[in-house]
Amino acid sequence: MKAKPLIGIMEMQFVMVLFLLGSAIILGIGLDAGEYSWLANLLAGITGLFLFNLYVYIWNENRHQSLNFILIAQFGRHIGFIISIVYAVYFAYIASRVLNDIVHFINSTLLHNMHPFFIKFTIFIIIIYTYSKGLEPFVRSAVIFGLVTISFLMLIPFFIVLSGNFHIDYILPFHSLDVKKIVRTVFPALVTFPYGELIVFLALLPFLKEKKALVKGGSIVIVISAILLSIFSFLTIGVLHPDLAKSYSYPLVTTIEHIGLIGFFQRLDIMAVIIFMIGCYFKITVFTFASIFVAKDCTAKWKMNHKSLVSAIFIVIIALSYLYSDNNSLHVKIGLELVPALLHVPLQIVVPALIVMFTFVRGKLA
Amino acid sequence: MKSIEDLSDSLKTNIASIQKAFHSNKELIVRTISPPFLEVKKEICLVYLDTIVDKSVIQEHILRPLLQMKDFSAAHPIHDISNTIEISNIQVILTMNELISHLTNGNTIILIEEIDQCISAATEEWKDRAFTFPQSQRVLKGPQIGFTELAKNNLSLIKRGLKNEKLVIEEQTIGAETNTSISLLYLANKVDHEILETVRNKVQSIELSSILDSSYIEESISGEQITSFPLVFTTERPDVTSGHLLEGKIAIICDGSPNVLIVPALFIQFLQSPEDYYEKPLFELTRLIRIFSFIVSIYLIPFYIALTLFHQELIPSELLINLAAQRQIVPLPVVLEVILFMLLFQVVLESSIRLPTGITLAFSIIGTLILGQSAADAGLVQLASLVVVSATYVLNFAVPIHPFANSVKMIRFFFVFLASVFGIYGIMLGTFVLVNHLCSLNSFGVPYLSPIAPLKTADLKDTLIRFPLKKIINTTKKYSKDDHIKNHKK
Repeated sequence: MKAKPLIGIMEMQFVMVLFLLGSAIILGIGLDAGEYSWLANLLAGITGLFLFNLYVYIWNENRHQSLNFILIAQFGRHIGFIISIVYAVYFAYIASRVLNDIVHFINSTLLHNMHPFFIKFTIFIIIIYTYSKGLEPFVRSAVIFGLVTISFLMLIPFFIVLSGNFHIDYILPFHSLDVKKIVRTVFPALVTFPYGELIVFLALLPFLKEKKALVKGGSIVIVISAILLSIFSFLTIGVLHPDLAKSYSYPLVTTIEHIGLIGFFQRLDIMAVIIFMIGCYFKITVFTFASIFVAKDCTAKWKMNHKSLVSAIFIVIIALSYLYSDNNSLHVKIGLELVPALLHVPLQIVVPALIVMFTFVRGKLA
Repeated sequence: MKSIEDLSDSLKTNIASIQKAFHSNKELIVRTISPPFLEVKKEICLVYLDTIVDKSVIQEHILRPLLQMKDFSAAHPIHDISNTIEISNIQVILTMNELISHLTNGNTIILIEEIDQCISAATEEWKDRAFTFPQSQRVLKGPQIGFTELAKNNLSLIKRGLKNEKLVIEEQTIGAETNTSISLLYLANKVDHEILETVRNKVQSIELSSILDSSYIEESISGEQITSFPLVFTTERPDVTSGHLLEGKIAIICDGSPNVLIVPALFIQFLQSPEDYYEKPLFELTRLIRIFSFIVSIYLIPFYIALTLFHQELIPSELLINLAAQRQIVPLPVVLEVILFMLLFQVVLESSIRLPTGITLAFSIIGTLILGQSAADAGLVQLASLVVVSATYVLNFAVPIHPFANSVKMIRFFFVFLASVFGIYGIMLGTFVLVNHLCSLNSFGVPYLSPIAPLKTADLKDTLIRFPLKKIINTTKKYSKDDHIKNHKK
C-alpha cells in the first residue's frame, strides 16, 4: 500500500503528546520508586528519547516505508511476514488492553452501576466511527483535544499547590538514593509504557508530510511529556505519601480529589476523568489504525476484501479484551508483570535492535 | 424548436410570434410608428413589457428621436436607428429566443419593417427598496449599510468598497424557469484558481429549474457532506464581503436575494463579527466570549443533566441540598422536563419571529412570564432547569451568524440524550463524535476547522484574538486546501 502523505508534523506531535500522557499520567507511572519517582520518570524519559530516535533511525534507513515493508526488507519475506502478523496482533492486543483500562476506570469512577459491556460497546462504536472517517480527521482532532488536555495539565499543578494538600516534607530531604529501586522501576516497566509503545508510530509515519522534521518534533514531545510526567509524579507523591501512592488504582484522581478550591469547586477530579478519556480514546484509535495498516500491508498480495479485514481486526480487539480481564486487579497484574516481559521488551526493544544491527552489518558489508 | 428560429423580415410575423410567445399578455406593449419626416415610409415597432421598463426613458430617448428622425437609408437601417436613439446600452439581436430573453429582462425591442434584425435598448427599471441597516448582522460601529434584493445595487456597494481593477465579476443565468442571474466575484490576483474552478463547476451544474433566493444556491453547492453546520458563509454586509474577497475568497451574488454567499467558509469565521476589526485589537475579548458562549451553549444542559442524574458528588453540597429540595415537589423527571422546555423554547422563538408586531407584547407576557415563572411557582417544573435552559438560549444568541447558531440545535438534543443515559462519559463520547465530524468536514477543499486543526500558526493571528491590523491585513492568509480530499474526489 502506498501511503498518501496527509499528516502535518504539528498534528503528529499532538497525537504523540496525547498518546504519551493521556493514560500514563492518570495511572501514575513510576510511583514504585517512592520519593524518587520524579527522577525515575526523567530517567525513563531519557531512555524513551533514545528509543524514539532508534525507531526514527530505522524508519529513515528504510526509505520512510511502513512497518511491514521494513520487516520484510530486514528479515526476509517469510520471517518478516510472521513478525508483521505478530505486530498486528500485538497492536490489537494493546488496543484491547487500553479499552479495558478505560472500561474499568469509567466503572469505578463515573458509572458504578453500569454493566461494563455497555461501556465497552459504546466506546467501541466511537472507535469504529473514527475509523470510518479516516486517519486525517482523527489526527486533526488531536489538536483540539491536545489543547484541552494540555491546558488542564497546566492548571492542575497550581490547584494542587494552592489547595495546601501538598506536603513537601514527604519528599524532602533527599536521602538514601536507592539506585537499584529506581532502575528496577524504570526498566522495563517505565520505558516500555509509555515510551516504548511509540513503536506503533512506525505504522503511521508513512502518512507524514514533513519527514525531516520528525526527529526534532518528536524529541520535543518526549521531553515535554517526560517533564510533565515527572512533575505530576512529584505532586502525587507529595499529596499521597510515598508509601501509599502506589497502592491506589488511579493516583492522580485521588490526588485531585483532595483539592478543594475556594469552597465551591469541591471536586475537580472531573478534569482527570476527561484527560484520561481523551488519552485512552487516542491510544485505542492509534493502535487500531496501526493494527489495521499492518494487517492490510501483510495481506496486500492476496487482494483481500478491505471491509472483511477491518471487521476481522475489530473482532480480534473485542475478543482480546475479554482475555483475563474480568476484574481490574487481574488486568493490572498482567499488565505489570507479564506484558512487559513477554510482549513489550521483545517487540519494542529486541526487534528494533535486531533491525538496527542488520542495517549496520549490511552497511559494513556493502 | 420554434423559439430559437431567426427573426423573419416581415414585421407582422415577428409581432405575431412575440405575442404568441407571451400568450397575448396584456402587459406586452406593441407600439407601431411610422416616422413622419422620412422620405421613404417605414414602419418601426417598439415592443416592451409595461411593468419593468422606465417609460419616461422610452418616451424621451427612443420614441421622440425616432419620430423626429429624418435620415434613413435602406442600405444600413440598423446603423441609422442606433445613431438616432439616445440609449447608452444597445444590442443587435438576430434570434427570437434572444429577443424574448431581452424582453423579459426589461429591454425595449425596436423592430423595423422588412429587416430580419432588431435592436434591443436597455430600458429596464426594477423596483427595489431603499438601502437600510443590515437586518440580521447589526453592528454598533462601522458601516451601517446592507445589501438589498437588487444584484446591481449590491455589486455597486461592493465595488465602492473595493476600487480595484482586479475585481472580476462573472455573470451567468441559471434556472430554466426563473432565469436568475448569478454573479461570481473574486480578486483575480488573490483567488485560489482550483477553488474557483470547483465553485464555477458547481454553480454551472446546479440542476434547479427555479432559484428564488441565494439559499437555493447554498444548498446546491454545499455538496454531499451531511452536516448541520453551514459550509457556505452568508452575509448582508458589503464590508464583510469586501473583507472576504480581499482574503482571496469567492462571493456569489444572486439577484433577488440580499444575502451574499461567500466560499470557502471556515468554522471560526462564523464566530467573528465585523466589529472585531473596528474595535481596539488584542484587548477586546468579545471574540473569545463569543466562542466560549457558543461552546457552553452546547454543553450546559447536558452537564446539568449528567450532574443531577449521575454525579451528584460533583455538585457542591449546599447546592445539592437546594436542588434536591426543589426536586421533591416537581412531577416530571429532570430529562423530560429539560427536553420539554427546550422544545417549548424553540416554539417560542419560532412564533416570535413571525408574529405581527401588535401581538408581541401580549405574547411575551404569556410566553415568558406565565410559562416560565408561573410554571415554576405552580410546582410544575424545577427552577434550576428553567435557569439552565434559558441560559443556554441566551448564550446561543451571542453567535453573530444566525444559521450557525441554529446548527447546534439538533446536536444539543443529541448531547442531552447521551448525558441522560451515560452521564459525563456520554458527553465525552458525543464530543469525540462531534470533533471528529467537524474535522472531517471541508468547505470547497479547505478543512473546516483550519487554522486550528490542521494547525496553521501563521493564520492564528486572526482567529481567537485579533492582532493589530498591521500584522494581519498585509499578509495573505493561506487557505491550505486538503490534498487528500481533492485527490479523492477526482
